[in-house]
Amino acid sequence: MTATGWLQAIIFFLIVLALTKPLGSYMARVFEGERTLLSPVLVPVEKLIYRICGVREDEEMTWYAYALSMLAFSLIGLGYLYVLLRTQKWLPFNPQHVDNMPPDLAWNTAVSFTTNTNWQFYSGETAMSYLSQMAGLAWHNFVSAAVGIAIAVAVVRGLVRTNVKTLGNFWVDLTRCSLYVLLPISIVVGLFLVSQGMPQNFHAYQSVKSIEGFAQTITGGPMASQEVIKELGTNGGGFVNANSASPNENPTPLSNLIEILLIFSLGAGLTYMYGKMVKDTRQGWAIFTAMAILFFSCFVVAYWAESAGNPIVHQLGVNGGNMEGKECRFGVAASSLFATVTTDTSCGAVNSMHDSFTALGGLIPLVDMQLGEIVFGGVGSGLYGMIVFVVLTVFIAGLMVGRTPEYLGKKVERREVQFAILAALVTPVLCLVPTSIAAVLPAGLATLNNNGPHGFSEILYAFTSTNANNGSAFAGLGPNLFYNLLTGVNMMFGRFAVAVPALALAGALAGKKAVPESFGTFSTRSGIFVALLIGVIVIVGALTFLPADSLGPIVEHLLMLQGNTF
Amino acid sequence: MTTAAAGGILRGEMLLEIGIVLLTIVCFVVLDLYVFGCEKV
Repeated sequence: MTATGWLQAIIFFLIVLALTKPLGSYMARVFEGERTLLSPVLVPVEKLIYRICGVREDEEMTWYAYALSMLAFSLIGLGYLYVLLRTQKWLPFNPQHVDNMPPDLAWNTAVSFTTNTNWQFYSGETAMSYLSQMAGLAWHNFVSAAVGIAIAVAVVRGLVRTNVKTLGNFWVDLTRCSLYVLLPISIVVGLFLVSQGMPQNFHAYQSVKSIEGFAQTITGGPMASQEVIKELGTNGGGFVNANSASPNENPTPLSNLIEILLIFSLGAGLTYMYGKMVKDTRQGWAIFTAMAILFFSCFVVAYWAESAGNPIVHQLGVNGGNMEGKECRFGVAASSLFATVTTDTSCGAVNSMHDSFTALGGLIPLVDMQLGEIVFGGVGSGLYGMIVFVVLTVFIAGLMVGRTPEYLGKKVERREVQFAILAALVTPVLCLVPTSIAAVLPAGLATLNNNGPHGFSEILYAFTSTNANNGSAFAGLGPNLFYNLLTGVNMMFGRFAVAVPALALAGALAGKKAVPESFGTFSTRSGIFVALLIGVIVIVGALTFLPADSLGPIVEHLLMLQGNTF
Repeated sequence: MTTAAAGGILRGEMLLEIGIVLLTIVCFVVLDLYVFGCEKV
C-alpha cells in the first residue's frame, strides 16, 4: 500500500462528498416538481412527452399501480431489446456485419439491460451492431436507471406522506429523471470523455499494424455516449469486452477518476435528496455515513489483499502486489478502488479482471454484492434497499427497548416488517439456491474454467452478481443454455422481487398518520443508530453468506497459504 | 451442412424462441401475482 494509493481514494471520496449536496438538492427539486435551472428548456419537452404518451401529470398512483406500471414498462422494454438483437443483421448502423444474436443469449442480454444488471455473456465488439449499442443498450442504460430512481423517490414519498394511499406517478418520475437528471449530465460528461480520447463515431473498426509488426484491430463506434450513462446509471455493460480496462473505454487517469465519480455520484446525491424530502437532512447524512463506513472498510481490505499479492508468486522472485489481470497504467490502488466502487453499487463496470484478484481481494466484490448493493448502491435501488435495512434496524432497536418501533414519526408494525423481511430475503434465496443447483448439475459445471474453491467462487459470483443486478463477473465462467436462462430469471427476480415489497412498504407507511417525537423515540440520526444499522447489515450479510464464502474465497486463501492455487 | 441438418437447427431455434417467450410471460405473471399477493397482506 502506498501514500499515492491512499491519496487517490481520499481525493475521490472528498469529491463525492462535495457533489452530494448539490446533486441531492437538485434531484429533490426535480422530483418535487419545483422549477430548476433547466426548466425553461426542458418543461416544453416534458409536456410534449406527456401529450404524446397520454400521461396525466397530476394523476397519482397507489403503490401497486406504480409497481404494475413499472413491470409493464420493463416487459415492453425487454421485448423491444430482444427483437432488436434478433434482427440486428438486417438493420442499419452495422458496418462490421454483425450477425443476429442466438435466442437464449439475446434473451439473457435483454433481461440483463432491462434490469440494470448489464451482465454480459457476449463480447460487445463482435456481437453488437452500433444500432443495438445505441438504440438498445444505451437506451436501456437510461431508462433502467430512471426506473430505479423513480422507485426510490416513490419509497421516500411513502415515508413523507401521511394518511394517503398514493406515491406519485411512475411515468412522470421516469420522464423527469431521464430528462432533468440523466440526460444533461450525460451530454456534458460524454463530451468531456471525448476530449480525453474516447471514440464517438460510426466508423468500421480499423486494421493497423502494431509497433511489433502484428496486425491489430482497433475498435470504434459511439462509445463515449454509452460510457457516461454506463457509469452514471450504475449499469456497467462495456461497449467492448474488456470494459473500462480497455484504453478506448478508459483512456486516461482522469477519465478513470471521472468514471468512478459517476458511479458513486447519484447514489450519494440520493441520500441528501432523501434528507431534503423528509425535511431533515440529518436523516440523509446518517445513511450517507453508514454507507461511507462500509465503503472504506471494504476498500481497505481489497487494497491490502491486492497489495500483499500472492506468496506463491513471491517465492518465484516476483515481488510486489498482485498485478495479474490489472492494467499497468492503473496499478493495484486504482484497480482496488474501482473494484470496490463498482460492486458497492450495482454498476459492474471493471477496469481490472476480478477473477484474477487474490482470494481475499476477490472476496470483497462478492461481499459488497451480498450486502444487497446498498453502499451508495444502484441508482435508486441502493437507497430503497438501505431504507429496508433502516426499517429492520428500528424494528430490532424497538425490540431491544420494548417500545413500538417508529421511523420518521411512523409506527413500524407487523405489515411493514413483513415487507422489509421479504425484500431482505430475496438476495440470499436467489443467490444461494441457484448456486447450489449449478454446483451439482453437469450443465452448471460444463463451462467452468477453474477447479476447486475458485471454480465454486465463479459460480457463486455469477449468481450473486446477477441477483444483485451488478453484472461484473469472475470471467472464468462461460455461457451455455443453462446459464443464459437461469441467470436471466435470477436477474429478473433479483430486480423486481425486491422493488415490489419496497414499494408495498412505502404504500403501507404512506397510509399511516405521523406521531410527534417523544422522549423515548429512538433517534435515527445519531451515531448509535448508524452503528446499529451497520451491525444489522453486516450480520444479515455475514450470517447468510459466510458458509458459501467459506467454501469459495476463504478456503482458496487458506490453501494459497499452503502453496496451492486453482 | 445438409438440408435436413439445417432444418433441424432452425426447428430447434424456433422451439427455443417459443420457450423463451413463454418463460418471459410466466415470469411476469408470477411477478404480477407477487404484487397482488403483497397487496393482500
